[in-house]
Amino acid sequence: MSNYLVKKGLILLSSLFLVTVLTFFLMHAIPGDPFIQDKAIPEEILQALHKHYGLDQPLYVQFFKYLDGVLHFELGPSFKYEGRTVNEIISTGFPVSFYLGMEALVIAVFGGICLGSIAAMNHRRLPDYIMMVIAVLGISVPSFILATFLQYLLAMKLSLLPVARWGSFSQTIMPALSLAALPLAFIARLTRSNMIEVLQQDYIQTAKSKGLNGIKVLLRHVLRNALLPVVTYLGPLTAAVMTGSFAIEKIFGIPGLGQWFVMSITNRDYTVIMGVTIFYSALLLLCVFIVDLLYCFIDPRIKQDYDKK
Amino acid sequence: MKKKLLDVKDLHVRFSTSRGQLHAVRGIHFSIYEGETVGIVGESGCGKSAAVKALTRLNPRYTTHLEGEVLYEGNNLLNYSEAQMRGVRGKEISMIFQDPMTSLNPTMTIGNQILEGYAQHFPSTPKAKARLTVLEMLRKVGIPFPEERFNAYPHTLSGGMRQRVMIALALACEPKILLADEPTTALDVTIQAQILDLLKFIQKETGTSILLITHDMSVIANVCDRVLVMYAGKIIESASVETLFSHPQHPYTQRLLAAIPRLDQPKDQPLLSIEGAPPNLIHSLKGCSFCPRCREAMTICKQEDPPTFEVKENHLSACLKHDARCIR
Amino acid sequence: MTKNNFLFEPIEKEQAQNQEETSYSSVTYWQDVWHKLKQNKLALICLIILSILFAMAIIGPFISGYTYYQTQLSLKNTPPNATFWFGTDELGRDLFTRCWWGARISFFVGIAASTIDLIIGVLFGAIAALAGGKTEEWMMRFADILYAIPYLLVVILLMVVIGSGIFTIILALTITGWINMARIVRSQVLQIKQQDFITAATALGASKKRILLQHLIPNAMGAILVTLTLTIPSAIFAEAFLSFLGLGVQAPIASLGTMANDGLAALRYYPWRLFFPAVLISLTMLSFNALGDGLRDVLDPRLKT
Repeated sequence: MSNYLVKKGLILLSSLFLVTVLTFFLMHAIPGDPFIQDKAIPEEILQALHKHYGLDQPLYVQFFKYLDGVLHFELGPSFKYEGRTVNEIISTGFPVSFYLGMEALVIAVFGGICLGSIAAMNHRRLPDYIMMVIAVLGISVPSFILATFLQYLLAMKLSLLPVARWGSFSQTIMPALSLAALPLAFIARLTRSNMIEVLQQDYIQTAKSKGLNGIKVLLRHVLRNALLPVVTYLGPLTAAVMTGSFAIEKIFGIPGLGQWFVMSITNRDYTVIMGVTIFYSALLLLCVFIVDLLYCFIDPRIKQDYDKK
Repeated sequence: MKKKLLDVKDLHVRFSTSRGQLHAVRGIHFSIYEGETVGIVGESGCGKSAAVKALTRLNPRYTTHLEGEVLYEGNNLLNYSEAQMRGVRGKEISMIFQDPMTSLNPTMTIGNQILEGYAQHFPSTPKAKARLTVLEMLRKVGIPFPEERFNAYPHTLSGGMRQRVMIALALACEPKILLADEPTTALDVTIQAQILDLLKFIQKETGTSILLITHDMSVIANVCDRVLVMYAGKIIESASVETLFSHPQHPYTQRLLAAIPRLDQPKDQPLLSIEGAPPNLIHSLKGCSFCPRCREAMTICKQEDPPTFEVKENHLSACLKHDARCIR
Repeated sequence: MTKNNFLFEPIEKEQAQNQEETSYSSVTYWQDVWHKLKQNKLALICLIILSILFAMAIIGPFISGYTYYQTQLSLKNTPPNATFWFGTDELGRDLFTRCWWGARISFFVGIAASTIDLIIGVLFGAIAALAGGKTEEWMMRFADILYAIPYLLVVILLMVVIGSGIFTIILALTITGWINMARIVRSQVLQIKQQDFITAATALGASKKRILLQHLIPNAMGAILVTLTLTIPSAIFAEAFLSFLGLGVQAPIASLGTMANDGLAALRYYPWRLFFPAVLISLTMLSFNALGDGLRDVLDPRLKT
């Protein structure tokens, strides 16, 4: 098992490094100067600014300084907001996004598994077809469009929920639902197809021939085997929720990291863009790694194979 | 006089498919007595699996239609509710399946899988005692070091071992009848022999009756007391093993036996096969289903479905050549 | 009675054998695919919808008589009526025309990016699978590392650096979008390579080129086609998403995503400005996805993620 983990760990680190390099050099490839925006700035002040932010050094030196900063979790100051560092921005914004993301995750996972299971057990009958249509809709309607639709219908027209902003639980409902729609649909389809396959397996027949009733068969035999592949989806699910949050937070005016990120893009606040990108990448890669680890423990076949080695 | 355990009368099994209704089993009659091994032999698609699964109603629930009578201890199992059937499955009538590689849950230890079946029917037995029963079962089917193997996962065992586990699983509650759906087809020849020996041993030890499905005549010869030959959803001949092999009556059985290569055959003698293919069971059949491939076909065979004739005592054959009107 | 009843006369052997018939007439592989696909009602409906959308994307901008950049400030923000079937935006431009222009862009970006992904992916995957050994291992490791990078983040970065515009979007989407196709092609080719008919072809003396063109690629076509059909909606989504974040094409050209972005601000009072582009995006993606699903069910259910 340690072989497997080492291999996965190396890929993780290589990817993260690649992202850092990519991000850094892309940001510095932008023509022009981050400080020359609207007003003309006297040359000496420009020089002083450059010196202050270390921009007068050769590029590779700047890179290593940045890399050093990343490794110590110091992502530099914001160029646009005086006195705020990227770290501060992340630490204010991330908890909000995290909360929203978790809520969406819970909805997606439980909703998706339930929906998928019901569809699979009613294969080729009405509930199955209905669920398949819902799932395709969930995958096709972009989260930000669903969000605006929900906002218009439930908040503006029917006044059932608050339109935007953050603070109360009811303000989390529409954003979380919009974020959860795509992963829910994916999980539902995945659960359904895995379950249909598992239900056709011979060992299900064996279980029935022992005289077990439906629920026992379901829990011990079907779910255990059908849900294994769903675990591997958790990685991409995190990615989907994360990128989805950029648009959702914008639509609902939620002060999360996603919104900061979008604003920094519009404002061309380079350090923030870089820092948040690296932060998100590291987070995502870590999640994928944890999922790989988890899978290792859950599937006795993989665990034992690697234990033997 | 041996006790009759199971009496099947006019069993029909129909499946609803996207291309129409498939009439897989077309009215079969047979019985199983205490302590005997009955074999069902036939080509792929002749309906033997469907028929045997119908006995404990393991066919797909929503697309299968069952008709007829399956009398176990006087009660028609086809009229049982699902809950009642669960009381029968595993406890009175057990089943083992063809592919041991896929018939066991890969995420459960083999011990727990057997224990689960046992606990289902004897819930009041304390766990420790149940575990001992399982270990004893494992030992009986010839699995070495049962205490350690209890916690093993199926993928760590070989095919032969897994099939032994399946047998242990099926016999844990001491059922009266064991249904075996091609238990050796997926195994190597040497392992096949071991499993067949195990089945014979089990029967002697426990007196369980066995209904064995196979397409391999040599397995029948090895293990069974009686044989039922199926073709296109019907039992076309039934007899004791000795009688069937020495005096087969039905043209299909005769061709089947003739097709088996013999060691004393000269090398350049061509192998005898049966030309043609079994009929498509979605279409309704007029006349005898074997007629298109039969060398002794008569005009009446195209028109009438042959009834079953008692050729000798306990030897039945469904061929119109046994009809009194036919003189040879 | 000593004579056989005529019913019991043996029949001629030819007669007996003639009763055997083949069950189905022979069809080609793709005819069979089409036949099965037709049975999937949803996929069929979506195919029709896509054809309509595609046709409208081409002729739509010419139907209403207004152009996409013509502004009539006095008529700004009119709801859908007889002259302006989809209403107007804040500059009085006809939304019907603009929507179909936007659809053109979405289709163009989606299909162009997917096609480029297809070409790169098929080449990469096939070469990796055929090369085998260390080459394949390093190629796939490279792909793995690249794949692990969050796709949209990189795209966003690139957009910020290169600037927005149709071709930059396509470029940004194709930088990592090919990996999925490459993986699928590689696994397909590996599977096909091992099958007996390839060995048979080699044993009969077929050249490597012939095997590649006649056997490997045609048999992988199913998986390739399905992946292509499912890559297009994700490219369309990515473009709409980027535009929504403000990284899309520049005014006055509008893609459906930028129109949705503009429409968002006016949602409460002029909902149609968001509604029509949103519906078009969703409908397009829905149709491609359902069609792709249907194709996959017919061609290769094992591809189900």
